[in-house]
Amino acid sequence: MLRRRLDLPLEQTAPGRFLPWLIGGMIYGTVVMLGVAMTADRAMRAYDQRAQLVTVTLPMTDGDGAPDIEAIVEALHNTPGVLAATPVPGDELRALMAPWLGEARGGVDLPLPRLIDVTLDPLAAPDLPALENRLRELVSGATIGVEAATVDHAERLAALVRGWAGAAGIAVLLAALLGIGATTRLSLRLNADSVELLRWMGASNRYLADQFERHALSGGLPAGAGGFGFAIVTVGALLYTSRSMEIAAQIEIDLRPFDWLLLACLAATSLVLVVAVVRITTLRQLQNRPA
Amino acid sequence: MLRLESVAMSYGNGRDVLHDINLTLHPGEFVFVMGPSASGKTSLLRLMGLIQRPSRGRFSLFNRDVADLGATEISGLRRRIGMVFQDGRLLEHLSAFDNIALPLRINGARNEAHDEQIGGVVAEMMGWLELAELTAVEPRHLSMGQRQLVAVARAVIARPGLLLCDEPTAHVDDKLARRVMHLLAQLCKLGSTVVLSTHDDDLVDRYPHPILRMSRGRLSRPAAAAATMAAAD
Repeated sequence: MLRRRLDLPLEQTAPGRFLPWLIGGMIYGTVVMLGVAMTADRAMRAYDQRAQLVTVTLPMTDGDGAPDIEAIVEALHNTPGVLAATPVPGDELRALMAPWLGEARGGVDLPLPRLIDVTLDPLAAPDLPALENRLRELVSGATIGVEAATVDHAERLAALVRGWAGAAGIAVLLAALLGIGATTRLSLRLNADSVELLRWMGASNRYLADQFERHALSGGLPAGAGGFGFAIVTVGALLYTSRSMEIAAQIEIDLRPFDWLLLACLAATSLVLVVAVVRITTLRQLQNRPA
Repeated sequence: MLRLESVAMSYGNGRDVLHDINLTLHPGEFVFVMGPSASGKTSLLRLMGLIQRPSRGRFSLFNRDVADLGATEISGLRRRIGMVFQDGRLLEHLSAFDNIALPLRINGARNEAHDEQIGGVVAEMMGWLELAELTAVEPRHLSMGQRQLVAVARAVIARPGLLLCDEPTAHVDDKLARRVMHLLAQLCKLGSTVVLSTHDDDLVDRYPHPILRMSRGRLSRPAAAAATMAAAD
């Protein structure tokens, strides 16, 4: 259907040639902006999840008076709102300390604190100061560190980016759709003679709108695919850069396959909107002309 | 089939270019319209072709009062009219084939089977008008005569109920002019009404059809057409 030559010379006028570029640019801008917004949203979700993680630190021991970890873990398990409590294994702990202790650690049995990772139920998180007091009754000097309570700058930046990029994406889409409407009107004006000839031959407004729609689709499909491809590369590059620059060190910035699929759906929806705008604009313009 | 009663027509808000036109045409009728330049021949054809609306009077076509018609109905009636414009009015970006196929595509659904059907009909028509070798040629590469033949083919391809021809043989040689006239006559036998505007006295002399003479936007009453016109009074 798209291969047959159009009855109207839409490809031969400047607006007709410009339209695919506009569609490609629109899809590129929208997908990049909303891709960034989705990335920021994923980052914020990661921060939210971190808010459900706390670490219980038991004081350093010299080996003689090892803290009763099992009693602490049991106490944690019995606390409403605690989903899991997992002692950090000694190897992992030593690996964590390695940057500071280096080779000096070897052969010297330095006392180390013991850590327990605790996952809290976000809907029924326990009163952390009260829990800390109870743990101290079991092990003197026990503390609860709430990493997530520390809202770092990256989290605030993520919130800001999500808002601005989301708004910018929608603005790009709307501006481009307005531009496509204006381009269609201009195209109708420049092809007025041919449009009138077809009307004199009995072409209905729907038939003429089909012509404009087919033109938008035939040019918009490859241009949109190109715009989407470049947008994916751009979002991927932004993700890579943000990771290598360690913009948010505490979380991993990434998009899941489902997010990429959503971006593809967004591009397809944008193209559907383009076709709808072209069709509606053409029909309204033709209806305003005398039959 | 076509009935004009005291019809006047103007372009925009300008003065009338057609005055008090009374005419009735029946299915299968063939009439010539003659007259000097700017006498209103082309305006009369544009009026009959539903390109212009009457400013006064009553105009009915295919038994429908044109004044009562909406845009969709106008489009429907226009699909039953074939028109050969004086300047051809071909779409320059389309091949000769696609120009001729236009009315069939406008009339029909868009699908592969329909396209194949169109291909056969158009090829036959092009062969008959000695245009077979010009199938893929765009109008800018055609001579004036060839352009005119493509315009005629386009107008008749859908077997219109009313065929309006503005100087259809102006740029073609005598042999092809005869062929065009034969084509129009065949269409007429099939029930189409043909209105042909021309300056060519030889052409008119050769074919014994009624002649409507236009002068200063008015239609005179030639003897051959008197009966037809009287029916409109």
